[in-house]
Amino acid sequence: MGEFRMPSLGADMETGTLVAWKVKPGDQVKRGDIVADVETQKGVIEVEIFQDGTVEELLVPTGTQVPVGTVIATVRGPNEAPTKKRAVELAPPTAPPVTDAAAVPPPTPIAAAGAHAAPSPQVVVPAHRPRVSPAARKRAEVLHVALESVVGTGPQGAITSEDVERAATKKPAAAPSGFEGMRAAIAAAMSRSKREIPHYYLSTRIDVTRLSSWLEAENAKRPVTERLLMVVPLLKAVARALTKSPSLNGQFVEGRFVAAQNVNLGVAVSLRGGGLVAPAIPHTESLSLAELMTAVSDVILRTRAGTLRSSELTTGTATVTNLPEPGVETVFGVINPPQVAMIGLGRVVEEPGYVNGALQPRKRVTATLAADHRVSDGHDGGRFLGELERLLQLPEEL
Amino acid sequence: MTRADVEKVLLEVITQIAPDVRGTPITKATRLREDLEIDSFDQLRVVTELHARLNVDVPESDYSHLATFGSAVDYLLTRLPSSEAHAP
Repeated sequence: MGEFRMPSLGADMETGTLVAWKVKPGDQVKRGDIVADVETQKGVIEVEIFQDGTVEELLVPTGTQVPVGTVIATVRGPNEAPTKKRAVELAPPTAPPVTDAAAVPPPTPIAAAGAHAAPSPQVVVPAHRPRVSPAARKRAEVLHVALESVVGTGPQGAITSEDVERAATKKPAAAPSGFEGMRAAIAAAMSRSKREIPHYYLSTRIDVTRLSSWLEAENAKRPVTERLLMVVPLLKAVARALTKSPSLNGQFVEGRFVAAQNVNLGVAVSLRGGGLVAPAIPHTESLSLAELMTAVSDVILRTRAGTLRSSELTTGTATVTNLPEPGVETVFGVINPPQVAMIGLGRVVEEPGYVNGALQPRKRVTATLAADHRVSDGHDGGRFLGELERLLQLPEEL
Repeated sequence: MTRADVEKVLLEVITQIAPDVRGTPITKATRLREDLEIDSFDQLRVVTELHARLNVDVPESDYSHLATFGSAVDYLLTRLPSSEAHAP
């Protein structure tokens, strides 16, 4: 019997709210299927399952906030016989809130590569599933009211919209969400990074004159719908350079570094109106530039629309933050844990430079590396930046 | 197509791609990148959408004409299929 747990969708996540189940008992699921929508501080995330089988039981009702690591469903393997219902039941309505460890097993790592569960001292499984009208549930979401805390006055104690409104006026908003939640999520992850990771920083200025001309010529040939953004060859070169620097590509989990076999490059996407999310693009190193452009567009649009998948937030092996805006020449990155490297790319600057002794206008971009000294040294980082520079001189081979 | 028509289309495209600019007063002098935070990714979406709606292909080398709302409208007017003068 497989146990499907509330995944950790970031270094900072302690709890998640189950917004919707996408499967029901008896459904066949395959590894990678989306089984639930979970609301986190970074928005609603589509959560994927990491095993094949049949959904046996959904243990957590929608609208419930549970700690990371809580078993939220059971899944029967392809060759397992159906079993009787699990003995674990939520306490009856009259019982005090469940606070013993028995009902909520301690979090253990889930099967996802590198994903890990952070133990949470707080158990917030509600004592019972409140009866809630759909309108009231919506209202509660809008007003950030935890349904467990609302006293229902409708038929059979059901919670109505008015009950939610009343609860909302009584207490300050429960968990921060929206912009404040995003800030809190970034603050938690970055504080952990600065507290735990001994960063070292390297910087180099890379000539991208050839790359720019190549890209201009390439885009002039392409219809508008197939044009490539400058960031695409840059990301591809970073991914390929990372394949030669295993000590920069992977995750540091439970006290040790696990190098990754492929590059799932995280891309820092700033949200309009504030905030930042860095979803990963799987197997970046093996995508063609056209495929990578499609993947980048897709992930940016879905980040802004709030429809990312859980694997995109947990399987990143290194991240790029690209700030091509006027004003930024050098990025001093903060590593996104549990990763061990952050690559920063500033804007393209035009300046005079020497080529074979002659002064010429050149285009340059400053590439930086913030890396984890527990795992690599400046020598490794330097080799990475050297390889990145070499690859960017041969754009047609990317 | 009149200037007012082009202004209307451009405004629609911008608010479709950057919905949060709704309510921001937009004048001829409004800078798309600095004032409306249209980054290179959004700019490509704007160009793609303008191509779909106006059948105007904005080559990369002309992106500088899209600096402000006013300059973008001026540029698009010269590139409309009906005024074939500069069509590729």
